[in-house]
Amino acid sequence: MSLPNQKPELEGTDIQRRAAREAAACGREKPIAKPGSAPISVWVLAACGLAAVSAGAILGGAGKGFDYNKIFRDGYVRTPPPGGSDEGPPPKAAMDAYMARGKKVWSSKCITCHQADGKGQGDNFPSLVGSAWALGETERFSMIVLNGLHGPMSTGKIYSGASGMPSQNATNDLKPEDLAGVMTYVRNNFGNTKGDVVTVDMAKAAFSISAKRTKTGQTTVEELTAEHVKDLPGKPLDPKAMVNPLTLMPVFAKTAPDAAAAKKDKTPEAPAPAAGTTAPK
Amino acid sequence: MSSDTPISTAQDALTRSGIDRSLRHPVMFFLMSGSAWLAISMLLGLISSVKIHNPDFMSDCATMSLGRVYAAHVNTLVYGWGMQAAFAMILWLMARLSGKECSMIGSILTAGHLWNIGIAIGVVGILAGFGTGMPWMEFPPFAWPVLLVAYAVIVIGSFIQFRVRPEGGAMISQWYLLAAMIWFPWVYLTANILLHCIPGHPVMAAGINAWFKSGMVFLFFTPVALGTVYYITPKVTGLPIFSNQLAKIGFWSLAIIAPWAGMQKLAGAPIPIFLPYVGGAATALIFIPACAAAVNNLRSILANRETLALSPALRFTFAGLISLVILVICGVFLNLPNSTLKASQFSMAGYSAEILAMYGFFSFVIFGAAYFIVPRVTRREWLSRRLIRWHFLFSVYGIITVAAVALIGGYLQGTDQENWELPWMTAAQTGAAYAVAITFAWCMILLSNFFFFIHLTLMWLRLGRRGPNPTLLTNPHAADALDSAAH
Amino acid sequence: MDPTRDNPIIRFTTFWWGIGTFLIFALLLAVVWSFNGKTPVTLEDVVAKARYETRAKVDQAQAAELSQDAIKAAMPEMAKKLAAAKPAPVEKPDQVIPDSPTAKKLAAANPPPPAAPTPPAPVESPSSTPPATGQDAPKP
Repeated sequence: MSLPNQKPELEGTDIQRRAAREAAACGREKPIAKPGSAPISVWVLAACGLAAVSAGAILGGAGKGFDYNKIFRDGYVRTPPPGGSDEGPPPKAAMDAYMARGKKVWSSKCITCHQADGKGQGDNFPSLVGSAWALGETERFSMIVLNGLHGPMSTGKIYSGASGMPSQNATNDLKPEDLAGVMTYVRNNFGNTKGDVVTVDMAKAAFSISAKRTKTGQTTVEELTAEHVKDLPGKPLDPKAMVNPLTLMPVFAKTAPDAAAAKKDKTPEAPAPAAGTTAPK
Repeated sequence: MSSDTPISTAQDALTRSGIDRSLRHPVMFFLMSGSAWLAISMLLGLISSVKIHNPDFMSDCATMSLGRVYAAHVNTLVYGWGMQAAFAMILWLMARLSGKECSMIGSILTAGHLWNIGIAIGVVGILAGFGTGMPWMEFPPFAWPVLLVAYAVIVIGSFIQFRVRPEGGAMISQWYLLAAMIWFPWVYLTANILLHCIPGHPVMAAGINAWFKSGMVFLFFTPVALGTVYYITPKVTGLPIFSNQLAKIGFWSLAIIAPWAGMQKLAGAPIPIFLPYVGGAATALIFIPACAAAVNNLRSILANRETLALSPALRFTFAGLISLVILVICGVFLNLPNSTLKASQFSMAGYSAEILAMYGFFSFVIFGAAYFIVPRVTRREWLSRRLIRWHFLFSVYGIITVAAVALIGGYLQGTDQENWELPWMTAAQTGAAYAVAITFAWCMILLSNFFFFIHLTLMWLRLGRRGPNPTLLTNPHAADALDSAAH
Repeated sequence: MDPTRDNPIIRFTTFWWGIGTFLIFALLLAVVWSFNGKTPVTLEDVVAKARYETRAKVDQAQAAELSQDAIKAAMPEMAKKLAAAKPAPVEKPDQVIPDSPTAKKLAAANPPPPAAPTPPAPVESPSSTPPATGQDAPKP
């Protein structure tokens, strides 16, 4: 084999010598041969047929004659993904869902007295920011919301004079979800950072406790201190668990840290609780 | 034809050499500036890939935000590298096939510089925040008429060469190149006028843009690449194309099918229902022309395996054809509207298809042709076979990684996105690991392009090796391997 | 090579044929676009047409009233008036926004007198509370 830079012997006519010198690369080329006429292989036809079938399937999926009515589904409800459970709106983290519900209730019922920032108004409406009772035991808080409160506080102060706080369920239109939401909202907003969620089950328990009260009408501080200084019964809910925003119940879903499959009716365990929130007095 | 006398063969060689000499400046200009833009594009692609799994990277630099960097990456890849490489191919191939020397060197070079200026201003416009936000059309609206005029000047010479070619039919390469020359302005004008000049329905504008993207790939880059393949393969292997009929079927099926493809990107959008379905079906059917061309050429290549081992041109062409086959197979399976399209529509899988088309198929074929053309045009041989080998290996590993990872990762990401009970972050995190692999792959491709650019620059500076024997990938150990082939 | 096949005339004509071929789609687009004017079909279209005409007339009349020259002529005088009416910065402000930098400066310069004790908020009757939904507390 000649070495790469060794020139081949120059022979032949002038033209050939010129070609060898100047057009060595081109000289190596041959003219392109005319295309042959070999028969097309059956495998090629089969593969193309497969592609055509796939294309046909795609076109077929469009419906007969691309009729809009065939494809448009009236009253369409999104189907749950395979292995999924609830229909309905996409699940949200529990804290966010409860806060959203609570904000709605707050803005319609509570804001007029306790103001938008929760600070109330002097001697008329107490501030809920940093309020020990709002942040404390949930049953006491729920009784206040459900039944109202009047009379002197433990400090001796009387808010709103004779009338006090009216019951928020006078017309029985407060739902457990609303109660749970607004309690969670107060405990986690306006600078309060309780960090836990008052669940719907706890709110339902609150309703039944309220129905079982021996006294009627608004509560008083004595009644609350005597009977209701405890947390509502109910399993705690991880604020990051996914819930259905409408029913506020947990759904089966994978969150990033929680890959284990949880059954629909089993609520995930709460993280290590802060002192005093779960232990009933 | 095999009974040519040695003198007429030498005469042919001199004619070819004359044509090549006339084409030296245009072809080398487009290849050089194209690969410079390719390097820039790879760098931008690397940055945007890092930003996908590491959004804080360069997050305080507004110029480098993902939307701008990614847009700049794609546009430099398509217009900076893709179009200029296509120009080089069209100019050289049409001149050779028509046997005519290039007569418009000055205007072509001027238009080429105009093209580069237009791209540069356009990319600066994108990075400065003036991009239009339409995929593959992100240059600010002033750019497209400039590019179109430059295109017309560059390509009209080849159009004329085809018309005044000597008697005899046209070769299959010439059909593909002529068709590409005509289809590009049609697609480009239509999309740009409808999107930038005439007010229309905005959702339909998104559909037109998706059609444009598909049109660029299947109606310009694919025919240019196929025309190149249909030239390089018989030239280098010395064997004829197996079936003329298959070649014709391939060409005409591409012409009929490709214009319908593209709108499947808008499946589910409020546009007329048949459009996405027809788009998906057409993209699946692209398998037919691609299969025809691939089979025709692969049979020749695989019949001559020694040449495949020796010739850089043939090896790159072979890799490009394999990428084409993989691309169209993915096209068949990723466009089923009720199952796979949902997973690939908004995920990395779409990106992988673009990269497979633009880099895996088109660029590999161009590299192969470049390794054949540049020695003839500069009358020097490639300097280092190691650089060629590294270029090939790094590119192949890179593109395999990008294609496989983006396909699989994209499919998983898309499936997670479809599961609406999961927060979107889950889907993004599923894709994050694959994005890291893609970043790594871009590094490899950037490195490979670095080798190519150096090699090309040395050739352009006339520093290549003088000598009659070509640079092959390995030492040929049989004399007859060189005999039938022409490296 | 056949001279009649490759001559300047053919090259010239091919050049223009080529440019024309490239521009075919733009031409088609123009043709289709010109045929695409909306002829009123439904009642809505007819009424809309009348509405647009009225709107055009109103716009025209308003534009006629709004003479650019008058605006340009009035600008220098207005500018002078505004410049003259520019409030001069006060040295000793009568009104100080609490917690603004000015207030802080003043407070630092002259310590404020001890604040008077806030009078106790009057304990208002229920008339000041918004109407409650519930029953009033029974009088003790």
